[in-house]
Amino acid sequence: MPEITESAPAEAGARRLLAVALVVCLFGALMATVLTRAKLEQGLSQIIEARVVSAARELARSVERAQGLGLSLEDLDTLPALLERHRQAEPLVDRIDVFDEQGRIVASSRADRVGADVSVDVRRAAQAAGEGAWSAPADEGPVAGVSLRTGYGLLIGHFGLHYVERELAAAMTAADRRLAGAAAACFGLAALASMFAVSWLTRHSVAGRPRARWALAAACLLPLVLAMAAFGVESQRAFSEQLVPQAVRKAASLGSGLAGLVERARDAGFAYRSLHGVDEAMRELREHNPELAFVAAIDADGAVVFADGPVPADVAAGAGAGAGRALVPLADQGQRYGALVFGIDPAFVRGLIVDMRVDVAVVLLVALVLAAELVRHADGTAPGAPEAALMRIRAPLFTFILAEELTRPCLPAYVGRLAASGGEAAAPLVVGLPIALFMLIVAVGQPAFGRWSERVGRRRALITGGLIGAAGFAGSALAQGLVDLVVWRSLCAAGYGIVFAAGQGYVLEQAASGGRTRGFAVFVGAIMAATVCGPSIGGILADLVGQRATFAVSAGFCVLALAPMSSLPVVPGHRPATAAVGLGGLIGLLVNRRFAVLTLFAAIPAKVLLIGVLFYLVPLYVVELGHGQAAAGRLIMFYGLLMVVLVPLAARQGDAFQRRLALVAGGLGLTGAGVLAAAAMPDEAGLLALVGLLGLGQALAISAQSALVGELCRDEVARHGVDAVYGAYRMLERLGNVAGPLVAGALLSALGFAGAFSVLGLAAMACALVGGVVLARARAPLAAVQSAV
Amino acid sequence: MNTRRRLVLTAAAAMAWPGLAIAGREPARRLRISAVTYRGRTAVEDGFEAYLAARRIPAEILWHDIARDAARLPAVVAEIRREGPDLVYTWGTTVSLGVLGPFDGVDPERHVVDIPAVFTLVADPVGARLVPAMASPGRPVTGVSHMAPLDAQIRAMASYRGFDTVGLIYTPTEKNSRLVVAGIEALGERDRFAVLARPFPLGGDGRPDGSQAGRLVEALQQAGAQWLYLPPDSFLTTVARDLLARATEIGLPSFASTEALVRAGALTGVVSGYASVGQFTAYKAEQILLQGRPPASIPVETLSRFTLPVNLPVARRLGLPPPLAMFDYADLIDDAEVAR
Repeated sequence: MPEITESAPAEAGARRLLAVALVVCLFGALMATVLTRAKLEQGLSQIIEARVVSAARELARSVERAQGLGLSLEDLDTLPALLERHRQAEPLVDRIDVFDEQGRIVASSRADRVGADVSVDVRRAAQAAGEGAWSAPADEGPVAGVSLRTGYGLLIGHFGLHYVERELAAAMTAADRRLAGAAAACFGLAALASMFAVSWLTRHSVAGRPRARWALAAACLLPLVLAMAAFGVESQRAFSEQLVPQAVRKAASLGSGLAGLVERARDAGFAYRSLHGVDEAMRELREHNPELAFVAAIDADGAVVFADGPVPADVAAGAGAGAGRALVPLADQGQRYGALVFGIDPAFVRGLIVDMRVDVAVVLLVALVLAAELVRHADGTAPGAPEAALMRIRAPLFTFILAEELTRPCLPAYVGRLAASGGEAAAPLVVGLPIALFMLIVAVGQPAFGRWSERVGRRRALITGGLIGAAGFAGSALAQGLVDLVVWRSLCAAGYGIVFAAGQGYVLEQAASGGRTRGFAVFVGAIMAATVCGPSIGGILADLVGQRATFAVSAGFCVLALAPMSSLPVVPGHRPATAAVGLGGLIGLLVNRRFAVLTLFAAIPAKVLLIGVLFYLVPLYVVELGHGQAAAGRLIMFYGLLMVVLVPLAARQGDAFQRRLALVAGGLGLTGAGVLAAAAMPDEAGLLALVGLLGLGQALAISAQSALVGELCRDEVARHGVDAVYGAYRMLERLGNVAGPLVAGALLSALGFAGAFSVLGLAAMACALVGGVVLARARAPLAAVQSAV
Repeated sequence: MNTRRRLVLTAAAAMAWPGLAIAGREPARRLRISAVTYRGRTAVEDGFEAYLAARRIPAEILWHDIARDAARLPAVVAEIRREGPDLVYTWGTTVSLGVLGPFDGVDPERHVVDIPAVFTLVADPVGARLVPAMASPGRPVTGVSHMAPLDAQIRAMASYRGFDTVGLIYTPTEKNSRLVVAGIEALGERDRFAVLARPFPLGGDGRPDGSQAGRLVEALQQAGAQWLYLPPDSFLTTVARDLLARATEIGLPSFASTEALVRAGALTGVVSGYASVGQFTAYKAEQILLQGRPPASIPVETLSRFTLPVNLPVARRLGLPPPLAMFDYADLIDDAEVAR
């Protein structure tokens, strides 16, 4: 009898675990493959684009040189032939157009293109580039080019080189085959190993007791980790195989340019060995093409005549060619007098791979959180589980919040793009507006959303919120300008506010028996898991498929959340029991001077910094520093992780008043220090310090601050009730959320990034100091009075 | 890199691209331009006409040439008054001053007044007192200077071969030259190089004496000069050929500020393509004639891009090949061209 009762749930549990392991392996395999593929494609396109741009520069030079020699281009007859010659010189190039500022094609290597208009994207890219090179996508394939100007700087026109990505496509096909095979092998084996290990562990129980959960979890996840590692090694090979030959081809085309100069110099009557500034020209090439390890000019015997970079000994020994090397012969009337040797730096490939591995590691981490979330869901909602009803809110809540979190790293840049008009960048304050509006709707709407969801029933409210959110994200994905984006983002905010309030209400109702703390733990847990997973995946998505598609994915997640929402128990709504905190209550609270100090000098500044810095400045700054949105997503995820780990630890730090005050003031001070660190170090280290200290500071302060409210407002709590006081406190705190992007935007437009960080950091430290001192002083006499009484 | 970008090539010769031309406001009638040149037609005039043609500006140009003889100027001024053109075009400092007068000494008897004018190929319009300031001419006269900014010239010199001492020879009675010497000295202070400036001695009649030019060059080299810089100096230009031959003989590289000095045998220099200067002048003429802008509101400007000619025979004799990258953008001049 006991055997049956024990083994049946164990079997079911094992099956659930296996299902989780399979889902997570599939997710890992998919994401790792997609990421690796995207990185490879990006690396290859950059190399290919660089080749086309250098061909464009060559063309512009020869046209300007022709003009300099007095070859008038008065009749456009000569130009098409020149264009055609240059087109044939670079096999990547399919067609060359010359177009004017209005985008009208005035000459082309293909006669039938003359008179047509280039695409808007191409025209905008060319106009925005000024004297630099530009590139843009077009219907028939990518275009890259440069402008042509008169001797007094007036624009004559733009060269647009259409190129075919044949080589890219061929390389990617080869890489795809390899990556797909590797992924199937690695993750397939991992899935099999997991299944085998889990079933073995469940069958071979020790002394009749089921295996510890950690052993089962390890059996599920260890093969996945190993598969990721194996896949990483295999993908590195695919990278080298595809990237190195392309880099060699690019080096060869750079080399033919350099060889052309050597030829010109020799034609001018200077001997090869007597040339001047050759190493300097090589150094400049290496500066602009960091994949070049060395450039060497050798003579007919292989001796090195000129060089820049560490030239391997075998080059001097005559072994010019070889893997990862390009050799461009120097010859005069068939007589070879030397060669240029270009070496590709293996570290260049490695650098791309390290970059990609960080992304894959993030995916792995997300996969683990996802696995934990799935296990919890599977366990918690299993029939007969003690808190099944409570636990069922986790999945929809996680999925819905994930939708919003996905957009965090790309939202500011997306707003900036839509708000920009006619090549003019949007004002930072304008970029901050939609974020502020979102926060405002959530803050102001919260009490109303809560009461409404109580009246109509939490399930119905959740579904409504989910639908509104889905519409908001879908609309945001399709937005054409700032105005409609603001409308759609307002819907997102309303959806978010409703789901948040209804979810909170749901856990409180369901946890009534188990205690509020337990209910809140479930609620906060789901949100935290989404905070860790969302931004990192969202950033990667934004880089891979674009910002619009990321919003579309968010809309998809909202729809996905609807299914578990609708399976929640139907509990009829009822008249709200508690009244909302009125304006009078808020004012009454603020009359309490110590509460006012705590709110104005700690709670609101903390939120201003969190939203203004982490969700507004950081995503923009990361892109400004030249990193992708994935890097912004990782940083926001790092913050989420810190909160998950540190908040529970900080919450345990004693409950003496002075201690709590120290945590609040110290936390805000640390946040300020982090922001100052970013101002001082405009690099990755500065950003890491910023997010690390911000996370630490917020984690330290969050629980202590909440507890202090209760302590400072004993009378008010007695008069209005705990909910009313905390409701008012949260409302004020959320006003900080609203102010955050506005303050940060204003500072950014006035002072730039370093200035904005400096002001915010110093302000935070000043607030921490003032708030800490005032509250510590205020407390002392009170304690004295109390002890006297 | 910066030096290079500044110098990046030229655009000389006609840049007439009919397809790219955006037709301006059509004038109601054929426009008339009275043009005065100093030594006949040059590439500047080619560029000027090519620009007008490319923009389909219907202009009739009435040519006058003084054949290097300033005494012919009053007659030309009288002819222009008879013609009553829409615009006056003047070539070089001598012609421009003779026809238009200095801004603070216009004489309605001797100079053309009340007709908008563009001058071209004036090295230093402010120094020559044609206009009080480049940004706002303050009279119905605007124009184009052909001199490259001094720091661009110095940077080009340094990118050909580095130096810490530069020598220069100038005429103390030419205001233009004195201004350039002061400018180079200021740059020397800023960029920490020594400047050795040697004036031509003045004869009893106050005229500069060029007979000792070779000696001056030798003295400069002995004093440590690694480059010989040649300012846009009229007298220097007349004796440049011998002076430069001597410099090359003793192994001193020379750097020219004008095309004429390059043609006289300087190693290299930063100069304006004459055709580009002409086009730019025509561009300003267009603003006056078709867009109705008062010349006083059109700034006097110099080109933004210049040519870097290199006299290959000189480079070979000096054993100083240009740095490799320069072969990409330098205007290489070989025997035949120098001889021309």
